[in-house]
Amino acid sequence: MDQHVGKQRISDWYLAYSNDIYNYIYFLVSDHELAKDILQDTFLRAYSNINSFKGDNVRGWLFRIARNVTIDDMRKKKPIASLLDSFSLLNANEPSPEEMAILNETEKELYLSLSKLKLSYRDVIVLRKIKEFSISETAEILGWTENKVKVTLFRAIKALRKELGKENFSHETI
Amino acid sequence: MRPYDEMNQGLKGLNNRIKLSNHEQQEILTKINRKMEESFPKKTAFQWKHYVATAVVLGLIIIIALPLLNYSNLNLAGNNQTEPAPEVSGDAPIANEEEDEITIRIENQTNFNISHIYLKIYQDGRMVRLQGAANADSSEIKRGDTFNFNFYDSELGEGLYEVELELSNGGTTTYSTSRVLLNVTEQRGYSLQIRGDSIMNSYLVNPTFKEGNDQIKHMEEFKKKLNILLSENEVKTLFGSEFITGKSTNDGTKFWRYDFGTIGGYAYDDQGFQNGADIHGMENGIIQAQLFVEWNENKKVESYTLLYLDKKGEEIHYYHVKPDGSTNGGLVCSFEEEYGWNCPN
Repeated sequence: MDQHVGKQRISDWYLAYSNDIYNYIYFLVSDHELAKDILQDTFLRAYSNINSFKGDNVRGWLFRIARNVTIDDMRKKKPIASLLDSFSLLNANEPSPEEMAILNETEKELYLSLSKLKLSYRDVIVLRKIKEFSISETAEILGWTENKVKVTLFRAIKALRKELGKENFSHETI
Repeated sequence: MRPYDEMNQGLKGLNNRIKLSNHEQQEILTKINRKMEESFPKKTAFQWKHYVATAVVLGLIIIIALPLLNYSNLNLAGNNQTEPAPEVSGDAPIANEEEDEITIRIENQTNFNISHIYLKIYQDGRMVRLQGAANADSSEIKRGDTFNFNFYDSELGEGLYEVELELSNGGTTTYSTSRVLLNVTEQRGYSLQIRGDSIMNSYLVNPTFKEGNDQIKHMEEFKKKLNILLSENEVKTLFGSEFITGKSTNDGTKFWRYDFGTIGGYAYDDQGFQNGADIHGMENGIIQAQLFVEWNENKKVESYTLLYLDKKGEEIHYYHVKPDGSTNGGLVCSFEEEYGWNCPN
């Protein structure tokens, strides 16, 4: 593909999906600056691999790249002796980012409960329930089977309900 | 009760609520555009030829030099290429015929292609040992294959090290795993596993939780011991006299730190992290739990903070007893094969 065309496509896709993808990354890393860096790397990686994109689901393709870049970044981090101060620890779940200010109480409660879940649960809930990808799209992005998506989502919703302190939901629509 | 649909609706409502400002969005786009320009500068036909020729020459140099580099790597530690080790089942101690040698066994738990493994050992940030390994017939290293890396005592004395692997899939690029802690004691054998879904995302794991002294057998029972307003002597009676004292970096509160379930010789240097917990040690299974006992001005227990690794070694939890005796707790970090260790907060 011509370089100019490639750059133009990346710019167009960025304008169309950057906030959508930033939002997804933010749910995974809970860090505004880090999410911005990963967003940038996502589009640069997309540019490097633009010739390998043959499908028609650009959004799903970009989300898959974003997820891979995010996981790569998590892996790169050298686990150091944590500065897990016992006092800061207790405040770990308090809403502190500026971004939280724009959420209403219900949303804050959901967001905080979501952030306490393990990553696979968070990942599948964000993609299916917040980003509203289909099961097959979610499976494609996560590199899982559709069955794994369904099973993990079921467990994830259960875990989220538990975090929310609500045990009375009667059924799930997976 | 919150209806299920309301929760679904609430989740949908979170979409794009946390977003970039227009300025940030534009700023990132500018950076992306700049980096795209940098990655492909304008080239003339002549320059292309020049680059192609350079690439061919570089390729030839790499083809010639790579075997030599590998050969030198393999000999840096005085031990040549290792052979695949015999099967060792479960957590059984690794038999070592050479009494004066320490063996680090690396097991491949991945499905991707690995042709060479280079074991790097660091101490105080400096690489102190390097050994390489590959199958003698140059065949691919398969899942379940194990390699033993042997070191003399003089090469790897007792102490805390960091271990990293550099993996090659046969190409010219190599990939480094994350580092894990290795506490070398009088024990002769150590076992680590390579995991990950791709060579770029590979990482090392210390798979066995080592039984140590004073391991907490029943965490829930242990928590019941954490009563506030105990005296120093009462705390010593309950948890012993082996603790480290410190001060909170936040407000100067004095605390005692107890380490439980450590591997023999464990020494956590928390320099700079006066009241930090050794999450890294827990992730690597060399310590099971740390208890922080915080004191008030009257030398009575003000509060407790307990950090502990769960039985499977896949989650780190905290448990806090507040000055009023109430408690809270939760998950601090979790390990998942696909994501590695994750400590969201």
